[in-house]
Amino acid sequence: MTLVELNAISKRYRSKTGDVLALQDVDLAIGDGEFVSILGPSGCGKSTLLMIAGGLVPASGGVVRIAGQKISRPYTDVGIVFQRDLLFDWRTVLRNVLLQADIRRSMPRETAIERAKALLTKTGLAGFENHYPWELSGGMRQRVAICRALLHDAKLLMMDEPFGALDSLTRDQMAIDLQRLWMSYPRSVMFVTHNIAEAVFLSDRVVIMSPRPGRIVADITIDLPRPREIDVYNSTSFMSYQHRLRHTMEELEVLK
Amino acid sequence: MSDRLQAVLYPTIVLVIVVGLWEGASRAGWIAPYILPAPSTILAKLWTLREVLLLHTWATTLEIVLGFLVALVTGVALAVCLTYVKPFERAFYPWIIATQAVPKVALGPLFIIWFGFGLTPKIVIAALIAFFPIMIGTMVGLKSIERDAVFLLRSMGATSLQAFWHARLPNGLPQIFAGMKVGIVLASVGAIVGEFVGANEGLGYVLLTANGTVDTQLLFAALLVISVLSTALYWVVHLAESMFIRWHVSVRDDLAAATM
Repeated sequence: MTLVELNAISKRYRSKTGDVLALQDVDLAIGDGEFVSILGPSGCGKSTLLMIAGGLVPASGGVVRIAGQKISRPYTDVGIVFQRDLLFDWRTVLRNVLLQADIRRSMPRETAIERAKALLTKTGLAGFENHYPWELSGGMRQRVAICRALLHDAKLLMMDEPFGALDSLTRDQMAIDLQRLWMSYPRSVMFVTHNIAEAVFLSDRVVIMSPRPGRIVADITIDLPRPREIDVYNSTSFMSYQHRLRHTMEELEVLK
Repeated sequence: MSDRLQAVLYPTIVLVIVVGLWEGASRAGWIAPYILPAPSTILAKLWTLREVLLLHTWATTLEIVLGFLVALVTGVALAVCLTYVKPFERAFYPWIIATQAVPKVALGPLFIIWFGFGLTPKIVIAALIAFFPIMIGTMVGLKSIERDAVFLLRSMGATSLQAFWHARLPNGLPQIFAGMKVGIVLASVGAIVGEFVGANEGLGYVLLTANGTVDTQLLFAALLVISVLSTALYWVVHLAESMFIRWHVSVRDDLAAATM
């Protein structure tokens, strides 16, 4: 079953130096429960594509459908994680996660609190419920942001370079934790990244985008058993996927 | 020596030295008392006239506080309109800026004609001077929200009111309070100036009277009261700030250890 369907999406920006074609003719389908990474260099329009898919930025052409519905305004059955954690400094960790419920008013308070606490425990943040964001490390903050995105049990999770601001050790740990979390709370994920290893480790499928105009130039299924452990990085199949992606990017002159 | 002790001790030492020199110079007869009366005589005057001064202080306090509150309400309300209603901003913002070029103090005589000699013209002048920094602070505060934070809220289906209440307003509080701190000081200036233009009570009126009778002791006594009053009012706003935005980097003390 397809959940998200992008059809001939294009995006044109007006800038001082004239029109810029940021996205051209992007077709992409994401299945129910599928983890798909959108891999590409900075500025290829992958974040814009994600925002278009969420109905947050209008496309210049093409159609977005989620669960069969044409999207023309912000889609709300979704959790989003951005590169910046966007935690509110005036809310505690627990209340930052609960923001999702406070805005939606879709679940009883007790259920929301219970679920938030379960998520925080699952991400190793038990005992930090009443801390404020500024008392947390970058990795912990981003975990809170992920909990917030999962609180309401949406069908879709969108992640826009969520680990881009973290150091590489934290980054590896976050990938492992995200996979674990995703397996306990299964749903479709659109994951934007420029990190090849991260994409291979996490994804069922990786699509590669070319730089301006952004187009999807490759769509590679990652057939590695789950749960993937840290050792998988050293396996020959992992390396061959990594090699293949890098090779594809070189061939398409995404990497030069 | 502890940091806290130093913070109290050092300024106190400076105060004692300056006042001591001043007292000495006056007693030695180096400065004429009608130019610079000795601090001890100023305090004596303050004590003698305490009841009268208290009444005038009350009048001025009322003007400042009411002027400030009017400024706060109109400043925030205008800022919200300017931020949310684009045509309103287009139409009015240039004019609001332009009116700031008019020295509000110069409008004093006009307000006397409009509102008489009572409380009202002073409140109006105080409010008029104080509202601008509050309005600008609120506008900057409400606007300084990241694009991605707006996207996040929209993805949750937040209404404009929810976005205002849960994100824009708390996010803007530090700037709003910065505007309020400038505003309360300016409201004090406005009230005193308003009294200069025409009044029969208030500390500004006391200043003018003292001036007319060349009572420099009373003049200094009134100045002292004004300084204490406006500092006290500033601290009230400061206190409110540290209660409301405990979480903000300018208020919380988690960095104290790092900067020592």
